[in-house]
Amino acid sequence: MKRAGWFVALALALHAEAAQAFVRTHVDPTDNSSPCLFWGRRTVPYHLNSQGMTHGDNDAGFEALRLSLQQWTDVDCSDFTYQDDGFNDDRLVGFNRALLNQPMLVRDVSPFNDILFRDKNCPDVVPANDACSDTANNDCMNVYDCWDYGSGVIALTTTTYNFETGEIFDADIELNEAEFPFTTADPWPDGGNICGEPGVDPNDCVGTDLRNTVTHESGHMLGLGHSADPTATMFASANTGETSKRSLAQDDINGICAIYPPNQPPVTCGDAPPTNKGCGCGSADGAALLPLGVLAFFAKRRKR
Amino acid sequence: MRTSFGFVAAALVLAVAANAHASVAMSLSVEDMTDRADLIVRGKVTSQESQWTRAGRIVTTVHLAVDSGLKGQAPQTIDVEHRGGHVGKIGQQVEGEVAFTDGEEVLLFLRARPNVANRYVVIGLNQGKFHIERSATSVMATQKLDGLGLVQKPGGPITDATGGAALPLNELEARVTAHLHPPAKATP
Repeated sequence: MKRAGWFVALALALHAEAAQAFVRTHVDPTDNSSPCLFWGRRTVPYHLNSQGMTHGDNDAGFEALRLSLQQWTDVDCSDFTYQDDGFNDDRLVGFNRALLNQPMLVRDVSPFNDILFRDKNCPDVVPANDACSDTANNDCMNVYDCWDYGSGVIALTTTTYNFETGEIFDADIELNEAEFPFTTADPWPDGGNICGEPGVDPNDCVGTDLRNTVTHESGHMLGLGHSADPTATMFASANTGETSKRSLAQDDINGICAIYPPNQPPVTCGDAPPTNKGCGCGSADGAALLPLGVLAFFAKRRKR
Repeated sequence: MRTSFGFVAAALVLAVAANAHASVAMSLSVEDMTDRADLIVRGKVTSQESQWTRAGRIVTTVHLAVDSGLKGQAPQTIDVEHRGGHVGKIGQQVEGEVAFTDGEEVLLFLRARPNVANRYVVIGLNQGKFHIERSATSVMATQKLDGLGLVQKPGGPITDATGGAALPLNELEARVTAHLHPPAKATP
């Protein structure tokens, strides 16, 4: 009886971990019972800004960006697709409010979904008393094409959505090249090409890996928050030189498949009946089966 | 045999529980934020409103009634600005950006908004906000780092990380004060 208690505790703990690792983003970041974010459309277009990177090989940078988003498209248990809609020359980031006047807002209006690098810090280039700093304008980043989120932040995703339902209209990714010169080189098998290490070729080294960063950010773009699983691409922390987030972990796959199951509407949460409240969207098949398997294994042992 | 199985099972349960609460790596310690801040204040959110900017962004202005200041000259009320919020049916969110609730008591590390009097932004996205929770026995200050992305600079954290854990408010304030006014070194 005592041992059975351990089995149950272990199984429940494992289940809790598997079910809670990935997290969805809510319309109100201070309220986890508010609706979760999701795309109503299953194919989500994106545009790479034609300027690309200031540092490094631009073609390699564009390829790295495409590969990053492709990771999510390649997941078998979901039909969610990121679609490359070519280059965009426009450096402006934000949501075009004129779209709000259109009667069928979401499915009839194509989101733009920009991905671009900012290679200057706003405090370095914006003149004192420039009107772009006024709260009503707050567009120094667009006027001066600069990074305005402060130091230490590598990349940010800004998502615009229906606050009542959680349906996403638009999402943009900005990358802070002013502070972090992104790299695209593959790591050596022995991990010996970390940028800045003695004797390492600065043109063939891994620093702030672009794919590591953008695969993570494009997970935000589809509605995932930060996972508690340290092996996941959506885990919040990474070290310089890390490339493990280039490919998805099982927890990331569980996340996208829980939101976008094939040939079915996106799974919503937050406004669902109480049983589904609190974003109970982590019970992907594998997660649900895991504790049962653990119990079955130990039950089998006891019978011997 | 029974004892060793129980030990292993307990260890597994503990390991799993620890993973479930894995925290975000930090790049700004309390001391880093103290250095960078123009103003460090404790106060209460009285109200907040969001508006569209010309650039198609939503910006939220948070009105804060200041109770006390640790660094800088703070008036009785200040405005704190952050990106994201909602206007009518439209919401906008920047992952890792700070967010507030009405009536919330906070300790904030702030930098002055350039060119705009009496307006501030929180340092390091949500790293610079500590939520204050009062109970009968303690007053805790908690960093809520949900949604904060990778912010570790090349070479690792600048100094020690707070790890987003809760700490007593008086301990947090003592750390700030000690960093601002380090004890004079004894002369030989």
